[in-house]
Amino acid sequence: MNPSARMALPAFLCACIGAVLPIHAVSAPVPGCAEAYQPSLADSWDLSRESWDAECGKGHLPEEILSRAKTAFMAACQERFAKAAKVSIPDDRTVRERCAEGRPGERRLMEDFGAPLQGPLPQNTGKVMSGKPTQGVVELNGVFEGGVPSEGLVHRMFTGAVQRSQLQVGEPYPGTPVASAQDTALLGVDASLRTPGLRINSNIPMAAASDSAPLDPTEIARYIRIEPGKKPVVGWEAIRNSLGLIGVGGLLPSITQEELLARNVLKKLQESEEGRRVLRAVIEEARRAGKTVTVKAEDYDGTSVLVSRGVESLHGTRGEAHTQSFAYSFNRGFTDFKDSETALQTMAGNMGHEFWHMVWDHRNERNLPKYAKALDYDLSNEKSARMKGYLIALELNSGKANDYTDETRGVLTGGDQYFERMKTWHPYYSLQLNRADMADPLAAYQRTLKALKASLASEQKTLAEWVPRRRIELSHMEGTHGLTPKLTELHEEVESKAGKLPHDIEQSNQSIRRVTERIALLQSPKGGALLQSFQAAAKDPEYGKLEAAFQRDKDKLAALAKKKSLPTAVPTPGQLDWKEFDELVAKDKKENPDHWGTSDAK
Amino acid sequence: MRNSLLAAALLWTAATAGWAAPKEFPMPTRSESVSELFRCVVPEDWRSEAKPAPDRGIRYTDESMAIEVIRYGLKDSKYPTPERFLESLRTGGVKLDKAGAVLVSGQDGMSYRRQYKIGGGDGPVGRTEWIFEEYVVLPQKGSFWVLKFESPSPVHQSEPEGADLWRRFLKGFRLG
Repeated sequence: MNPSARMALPAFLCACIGAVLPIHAVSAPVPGCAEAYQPSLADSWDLSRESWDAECGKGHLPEEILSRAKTAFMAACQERFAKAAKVSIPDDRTVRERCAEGRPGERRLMEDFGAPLQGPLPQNTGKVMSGKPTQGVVELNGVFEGGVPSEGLVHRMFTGAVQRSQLQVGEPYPGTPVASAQDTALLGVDASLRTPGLRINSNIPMAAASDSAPLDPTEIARYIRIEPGKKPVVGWEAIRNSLGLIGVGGLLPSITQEELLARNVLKKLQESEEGRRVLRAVIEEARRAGKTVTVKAEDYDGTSVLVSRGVESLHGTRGEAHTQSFAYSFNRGFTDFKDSETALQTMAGNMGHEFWHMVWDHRNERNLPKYAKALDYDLSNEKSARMKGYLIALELNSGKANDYTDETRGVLTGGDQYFERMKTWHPYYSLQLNRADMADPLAAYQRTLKALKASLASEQKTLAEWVPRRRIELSHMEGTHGLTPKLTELHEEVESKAGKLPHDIEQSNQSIRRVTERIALLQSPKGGALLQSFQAAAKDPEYGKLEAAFQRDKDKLAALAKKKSLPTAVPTPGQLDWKEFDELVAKDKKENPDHWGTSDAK
Repeated sequence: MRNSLLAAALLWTAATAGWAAPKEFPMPTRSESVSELFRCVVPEDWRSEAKPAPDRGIRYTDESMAIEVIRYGLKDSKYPTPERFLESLRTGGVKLDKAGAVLVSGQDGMSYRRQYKIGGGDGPVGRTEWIFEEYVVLPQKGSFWVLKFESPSPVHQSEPEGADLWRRFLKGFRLG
């Protein structure tokens, strides 16, 4: 063991090195020690109540007992893994990291690289408490090799159900006690581990970290990189005030509008419980993959920002995720919103949605590797991401309707049929299946094919009949009856559909081709592996957890929508809706039949 | 799950002899009698799917339009009264319009309509659809039946696709 490295260990590890640095004399039981035990320790660290009480009886502090248990667990975990490892062997660091997470980490380690854990671990027999403390120090140093450990790693290593030590980089949180001079003396703080401004605080009793707790901005900055944009900020102070940006060291003259927006959206995400959960999860996945999440603005053809019924909307792709490279692109059009709060809330919903795709892909590739084929076509990927986006947008919403609150209404009103319809919306979705579909994927694809053909027919009919009919009606009511100012929004809607329907028709044709090919594949011997993957996934309760997680989010969304009540778009004053317009047309046809031919207006 | 539902539907649904389809259906039809609870006529190629307890019923669909027949108000029903059922349709602020009385199975039912948008985003991936729904509520001995028609469309519709078929379905529907 390197003495200088030992000196670097923080105060809450002192128990690990108790043999070298006596902390205090062990004598009478410490008051409150027995009460500090939590049953979860038995599963997390193989630390039984009996062992705990016995150690309390010897005068050990709770944190000492826990630290020693962790040390011993890590050693035992690595030993167990050495015997069970098979197929691909992870590097030592991975083994140490996983073992440092306790039983859940060991379980993942075994599932990924070894024989799965069967049943409970051997009961603690007192061996844990008699583990050699120095061994733990050696192992920890091993984890720290190669530079400064990530906060997440340190956090996981040193957190337990009894006590969570808080590690900070830079300035401490207000009100957080900083390590005492005595702690620092004990710690030493080794140069090889220290980063400028690194502070380690210990002895702060806390509950286990919640996955929705606020994230340290430095953690976000470390794992999420915002790429420069191209639109210079004009009138910086005015924008800063309107977006509510808290100045960071005054003016930032080189920042672009895109960077500013992305930075504020990340801040906005932190205001939402679900947003924090998604942020934490995507950072965790990026960290595991040794990557950084990149955020950058993109130009998407045909984008426009329109206001309809008081709702400012981005028409065009909002954003997209390239999950393997952890790259998120958002539509530069968000910087054109007049209502900056709507832009922030909508883009926060989109960012959460796309980040969740990254989490879903990486998490499930890791946890359900044998279902890789089924996962590629699982609709719950998109369903879950939608729920995350809608939850975030609704949590952030302050009462004004936006696209996301509008879409939330559709999801909650449409129920299961919403997701069936989704399969007809894009070639990518057309091959997706619900878990229930996976039991008989062939039948499911045949249903989708039927739905797609009906959709295509409806789109063709709308383009061939509805669009020209509406144009004629609008033109007549504008020209003959002078209603032009009241029909602006309806006119825009017709022209928007007329422009988009040819694209939708092309996509429906593509979907039909894809699903037809998929049906043929599943009916051939070549489709056997895919068929088996679907059918096995449909039966496996572990796989079923994906759908269950989506359902929980959906229930949460419904409850939140009930509690907050979904804001409704406010009709633009003076603008008619379709119902009112149809009534006027019907009245005109009755009163002025000479204005209308058999199907057209004159 | 789906298999068991379909099996239940097959057991529960049996074709009856002697029940003639109304002539005005524009496509081949089949007659259905559900546990002697109701009889109806649906397009021949529509699939049927049983709705599980507590509010049992059946959904007929061509994978685009759909007609459902569900009985509520019995023990453990999700909606013990028509009022509670109608309230559930207004979730999220969707407007529900009263569309007047309609004669179904020899009695006056009340019909309601709503139309709402689903999907969103008009980009390459985005798609918006309108779902038109009409409900007919028919009271019967401490319970009530809900007959529902749904029809999707790329645009808002004053007369939805399949409305004619729905009216014919109502004309041919018989309780008991």
